[in-house]
Amino acid sequence: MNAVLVAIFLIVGIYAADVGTQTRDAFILAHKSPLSLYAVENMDLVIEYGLYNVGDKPATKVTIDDRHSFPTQSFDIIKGLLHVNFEKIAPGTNVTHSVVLRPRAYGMFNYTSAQVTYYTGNDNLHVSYSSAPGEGYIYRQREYDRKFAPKYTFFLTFLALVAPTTIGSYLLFQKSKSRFDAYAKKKN
Amino acid sequence: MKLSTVFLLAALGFCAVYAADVVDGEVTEDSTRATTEDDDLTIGASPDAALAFQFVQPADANTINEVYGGSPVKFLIGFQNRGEKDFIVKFSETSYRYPLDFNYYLQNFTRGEYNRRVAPKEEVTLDYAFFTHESLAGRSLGLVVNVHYEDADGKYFINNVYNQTITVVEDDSGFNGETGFMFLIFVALGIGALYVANQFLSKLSRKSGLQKRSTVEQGTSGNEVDYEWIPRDIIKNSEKKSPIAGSPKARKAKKTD
Amino acid sequence: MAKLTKEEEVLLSSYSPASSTKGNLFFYVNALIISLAPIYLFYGVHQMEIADSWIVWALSSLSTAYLLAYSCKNQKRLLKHQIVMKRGPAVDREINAKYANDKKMSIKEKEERALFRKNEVADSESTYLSIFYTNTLFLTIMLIFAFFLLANVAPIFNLLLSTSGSAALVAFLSTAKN
Repeated sequence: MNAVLVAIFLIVGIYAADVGTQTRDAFILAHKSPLSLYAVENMDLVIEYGLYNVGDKPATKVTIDDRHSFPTQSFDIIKGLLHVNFEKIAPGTNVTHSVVLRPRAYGMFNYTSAQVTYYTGNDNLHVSYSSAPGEGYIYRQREYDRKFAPKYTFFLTFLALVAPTTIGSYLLFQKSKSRFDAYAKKKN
Repeated sequence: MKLSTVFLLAALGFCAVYAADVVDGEVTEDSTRATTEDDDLTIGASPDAALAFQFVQPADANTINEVYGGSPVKFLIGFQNRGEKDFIVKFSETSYRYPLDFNYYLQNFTRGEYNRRVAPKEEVTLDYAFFTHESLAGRSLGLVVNVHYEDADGKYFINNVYNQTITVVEDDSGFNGETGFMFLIFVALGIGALYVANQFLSKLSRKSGLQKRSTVEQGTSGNEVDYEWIPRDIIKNSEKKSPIAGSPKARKAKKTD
Repeated sequence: MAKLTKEEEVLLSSYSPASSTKGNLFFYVNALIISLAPIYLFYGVHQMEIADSWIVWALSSLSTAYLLAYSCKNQKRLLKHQIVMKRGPAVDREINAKYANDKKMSIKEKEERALFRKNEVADSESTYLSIFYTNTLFLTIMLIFAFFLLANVAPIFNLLLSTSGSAALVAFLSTAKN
């Protein structure tokens, strides 16, 4: 009886120890999302990367590499880097990184995952992929302007175009009229 | 006997402590109550997959279980492949349940279809966002998030990633139309009151002005003599007695009259 | 049915509603400018594609220009009558003042000159005034049509209807027999 109980105790103890080591690891969740509401060609597009360490140990030598998903022939990098390193992310903390891009062409675009690599301890390498926003449309400048650009400049030039003949002819009429009104008044 | 009971209790104690180990929202193994028709066994999680859950928006939902009504809730699901074979993460299903009975579905959200292949020793992060309606504000609901995935052999797994009661809180940060317009009405009423007060005050001053406009003594004006104050017989006397100006002829004419 | 003498012809021609080439030129240039301005406005506000819409642009500008020129001429004819009535006395005084010292001129000649001058003044004034009236009428009706009544119609149809429609309306109004 005692031996059976000791055995149970040992098994549970070993199992418990095993379960204990299972949770002792860094786990980084990588979130990639566009911050701009609309992606328009030749206008700034902001992408935000968030790294959240939900594990128990700090993650060291964390790198984000997203150069493959924004090729330089289709996107200009205005601010920020697409390949960054972070020395250490403590457990329970997060890091955000943003990049400003400018699309060169319009059309459908598939936003793919960024690759994140990090180490737990010195040798435990993790390769992770961030969340992918999926397919999105990059609008043409014209479509965006149609909805959001200020229109008053066009109204002002329209009035400037129309004014010469209209106001000019009215002024000429007034000139002539006042001349003859002066005559009529002078004699009276 | 005493030692054996001690060992038994210790064993039970170890089991209790390590079975319910939830660190930072990381749940390693937890089976759901879903059943299929081909097995009598319940569909559970795969031992080769480790999943994690993290709220992104609102950020403090990880510690306080509160969510804002009327604004989107975003979270991340981390999937770690610890085995030797590929996994395909199919979709995630989110639902609101009745807080006292998690079998009763209150609201089912659209599945987040991923169909993402995860190679061995790799991890992937998946995101999902849903929107809590404002009418649910003030209620506490059970939020349940399950991830469905398959391994290379076609074996199906479901892993529960979040299974807690949250409260839906009203969002006070935006511009509240009601209070804004109420403020505007009070301002308008204030201006109206000022105008009425101004009218009232000017009426009062007008009354005293009337008194002021009453006849003021101006002294004698002009060259006219005020005949009211002179008795009549003196006027007649003065008419007779006053020397008559003019030529003697006129005087003579007067005398004869 | 005596043949008209040259003097009578000249007299008649001065009374005809047809305007001189200079006046006509004013009308045509004005009509062209006023018909092209709404096209620029639509191009800017709705960001119309040049390649797709140049046909509609040409169509609307031609029809609008033609209708505007027509309504300007009508309007001028109507206004000339009114202005001649009003300016009569003032022009007479002007001519008298100008030739007061010239004793050689007979009264009849003075009257003739006064008549001619009246005609000339009325002609130019009515041209200016008719351009002004037609322009403002067309522009207000066009703006009301384009941005209030037809605001949700596709830009191509919006342009055609509002410019040609308001030009037609102005032309119709100008044919009133006051």
